[in-house]
Amino acid sequence: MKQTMAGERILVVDDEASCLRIIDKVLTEEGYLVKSTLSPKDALEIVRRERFDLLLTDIVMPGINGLELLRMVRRIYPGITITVITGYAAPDTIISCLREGVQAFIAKPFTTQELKTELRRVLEKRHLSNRKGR
Amino acid sequence: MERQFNILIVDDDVALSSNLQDVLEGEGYGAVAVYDGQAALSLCRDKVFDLALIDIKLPGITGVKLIEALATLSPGTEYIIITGYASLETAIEAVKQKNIAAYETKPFNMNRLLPLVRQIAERRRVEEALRASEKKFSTSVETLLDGFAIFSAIRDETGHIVDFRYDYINEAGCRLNHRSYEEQIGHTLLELLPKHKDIGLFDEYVRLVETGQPLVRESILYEDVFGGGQRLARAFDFRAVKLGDGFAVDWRDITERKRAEEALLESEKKYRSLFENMLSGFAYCKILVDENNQPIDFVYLEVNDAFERLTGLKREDVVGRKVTEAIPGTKESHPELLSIYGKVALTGEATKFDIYFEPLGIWLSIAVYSPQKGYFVAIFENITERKRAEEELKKSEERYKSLVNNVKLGIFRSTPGPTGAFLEVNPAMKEITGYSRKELLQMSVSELYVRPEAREAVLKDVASALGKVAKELHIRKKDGTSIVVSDTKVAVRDSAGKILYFDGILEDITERKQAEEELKIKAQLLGMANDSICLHDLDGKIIYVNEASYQSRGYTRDELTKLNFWTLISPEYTKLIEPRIKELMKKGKVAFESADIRKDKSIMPVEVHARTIDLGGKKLILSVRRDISERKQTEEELASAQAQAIQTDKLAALGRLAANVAHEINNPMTAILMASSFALEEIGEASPYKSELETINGEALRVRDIVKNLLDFARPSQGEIEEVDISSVVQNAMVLLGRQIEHQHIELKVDCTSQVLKVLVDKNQITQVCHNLLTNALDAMPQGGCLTISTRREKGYAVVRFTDTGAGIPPENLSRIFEPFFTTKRAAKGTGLGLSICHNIIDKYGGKIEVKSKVGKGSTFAVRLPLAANREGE
Repeated sequence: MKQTMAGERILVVDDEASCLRIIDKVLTEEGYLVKSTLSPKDALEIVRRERFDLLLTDIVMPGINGLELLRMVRRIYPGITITVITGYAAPDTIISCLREGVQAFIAKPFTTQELKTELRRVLEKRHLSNRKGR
Repeated sequence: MERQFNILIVDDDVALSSNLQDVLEGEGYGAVAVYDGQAALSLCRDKVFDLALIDIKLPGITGVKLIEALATLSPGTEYIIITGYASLETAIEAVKQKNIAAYETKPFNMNRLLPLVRQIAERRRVEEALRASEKKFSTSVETLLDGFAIFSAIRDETGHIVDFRYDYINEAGCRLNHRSYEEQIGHTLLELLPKHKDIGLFDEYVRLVETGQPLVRESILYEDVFGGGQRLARAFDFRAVKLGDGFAVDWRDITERKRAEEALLESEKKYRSLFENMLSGFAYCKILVDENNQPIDFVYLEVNDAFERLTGLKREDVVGRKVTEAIPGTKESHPELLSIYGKVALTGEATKFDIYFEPLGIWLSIAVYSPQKGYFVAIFENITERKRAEEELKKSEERYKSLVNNVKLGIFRSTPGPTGAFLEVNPAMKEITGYSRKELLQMSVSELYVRPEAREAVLKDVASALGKVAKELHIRKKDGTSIVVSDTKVAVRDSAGKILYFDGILEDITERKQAEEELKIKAQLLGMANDSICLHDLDGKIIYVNEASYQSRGYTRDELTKLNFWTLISPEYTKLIEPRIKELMKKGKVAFESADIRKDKSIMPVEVHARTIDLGGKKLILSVRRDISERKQTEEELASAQAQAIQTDKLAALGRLAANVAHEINNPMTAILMASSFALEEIGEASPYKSELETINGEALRVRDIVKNLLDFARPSQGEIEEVDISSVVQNAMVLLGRQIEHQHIELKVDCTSQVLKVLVDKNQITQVCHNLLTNALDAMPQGGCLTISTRREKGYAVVRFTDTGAGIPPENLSRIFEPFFTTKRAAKGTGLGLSICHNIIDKYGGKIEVKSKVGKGSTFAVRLPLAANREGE
């Protein structure tokens, strides 16, 4: 079921290449404008250059971890919607994420359907609030 | 010698008077001449005259007037009136006077006067003699104690005496006859005392009058009615003599004498009998003296039966014989005896003494007196027995005295006053109080008391008690130290019940008290000991048990002491006991662990320390048994806790491992799952690889489930803890599984209590528990069955029970079902973590999961969670 959305821009960050590749593929197929990177450091570079509606990031990563990343991204784009994908997370990490305005968590491993459904939910929410804001 | 005849001459003719006086004095009469009436009167006041020669014509008082006056002054005096002339009037007047012996005219002839005076004097002498004689008779008769009476005979016409008339009876006669003089005089003998005829006395009186023979009778018994109508029996002696035609009789009432004589006779008889029967020996003896009047021997004159009995000598061998013959050796062995007897017999001074009489070998108490000079009576008793008793008494008293003086007990006698004074104390009183006997006798009893007011209570107790009263008192010794004494007193009273004094015993019990206190403390310690302490013999007979002994076993003391000690030991230990006993007998003590049986048959593990004790020659076992149930339980709990800790560690490690594994697996799994699901979406229904992709996707999902469970198991609760009604949780869980229940044709029975059972939990976790247990129950009944869900409030817990009618759990698996990764389900169905997760969750909230199962019947899982209110301490 293909449904072209408004072409929201999504940045995907995951140090797991297989995951990154299939997520990129699924979301692109779904009609989103997807940029994906294995490195959080690269992600920051990309964010500085381009504007995104949603950041989809893993938490446990080498170098800059997901939490640090999303904090930095939030500083650059305060209005960005953030969704965390994670295989494991400690409760305090989750709480910190929520404080940083993370709108959704998707536990690994997930199906394409689960991913698509969750992203659609948070982006619709974003549209609604943007519309209200206007 | 005859009394002088006194004559008074009263004449104013001095010459005549003097002449007359001289003549009369010459005749041997006493004569006094005065010259007028006045002088005569004053003289007659002091002197009695037999005869007065009075001139009728006197100066002053006339002769006639003088005679009249003298008549009262001197009534016995006779007068001769002398006159020179005589008028008729004077003569008439003079003649009227009494006691006028003669009239002589002047000048009178001496030859005529002197014979007249002589005649008068002679007559007066005779008259006086007669008067004296009469007076004598009358006095003697009247004052006689004997009766005297004069009777005259009354004769009939033929001259026979028919009766006697009372002519005279004296006062004593009246008294003896109980009749007055007037009642008798003129009456007759037979009229007043008719019995005279009956006893023949009357005839004897007649014979006396007829013959003149005096009649003398003695001890005549006469009984008649006397005056006043009284019948009397009297005894008389009498004598009668003929007097004219009658008789005079005097009689004496000898009734009293007779009685006295009889009494004397009786008394003599009595005394004789007494004398013969008296218990005291009696000897009447005559003392024999030498020329210096020194006693040298004595002769027995009379002895009584007791003498024979007491001395063992026969009367006939003694009486009339000297003591030196009768009892040889007396004089030699008892020279003092003779001198005592001699002294009594010769001085009359009575004496009394005790003597050990050597010749007879007996003790004698002898009283000696002398009835007449030269004689003595010895009355003696054999007092050998008494002497021996006295000796015994003396010895006993000495022993007693020695006892009193040597005992450690203080013995005292004290007055009953408010402070009290010691009357007597023994030497031990000094040792106890520190005060000397002298000091004690001078001080008051209450001074000894530490609290002198205690005396009052002591007195009250002793006064009200009949017997002895024992008290414990604190007394202060002379050196100031306080000691405890036992004071035992008895009040000694007089016959009226008044307390005379106290006799008491004082004992220093300070040490004993201390020992008692210690013993008391020891006994208390023994009683208080938590260990059961038991003394018993080898046969198991229980001699002593302390409180812990019977209480720890659930018995009363009486119940326990009736049991045999060996039967109190748990049977599994009885065999083990034997070698212990052997060891105990060998070493004297032993320690080991054993187990005892309580009254309720439960087992009490004990640690035993036993030792042997020799008590009264008998070997006993003293066993101290400590209840180590708690220790045992603690040990078990500790072991279990250790096991639990190990398990927890194991699980924690497993959890960490699982988390890591999950994380590591999840990334590749994400790729697999994403890829497979993406591919399935893209290839379409006709693709020949569709089923393979489905398999990949399905198994990837299963892996995801396993990992998720692993993470749930390892991950601590993340949810919110709140108060929830357990029933609502159960309902939610059921809703989740509603479709499966329907599909499997399960009959559902819900039996929830109406009570709200609030528990403080993470709702999701409890939902998960219920979900897991429900899933298990449904899995146990693949062919259908009955599922019963109930909630109850039980003792502060909310209890949820899930009961299925499935296959049941074999006993060997029951203990393992909560272990992680233990499962009996098909490989594809279970992870082996469900019940472990449930157990961990419920355990975390202080609850429990219990299982009861029977193979072929089904299982019941019960979840117990503490009620919220209960937590708050309801």
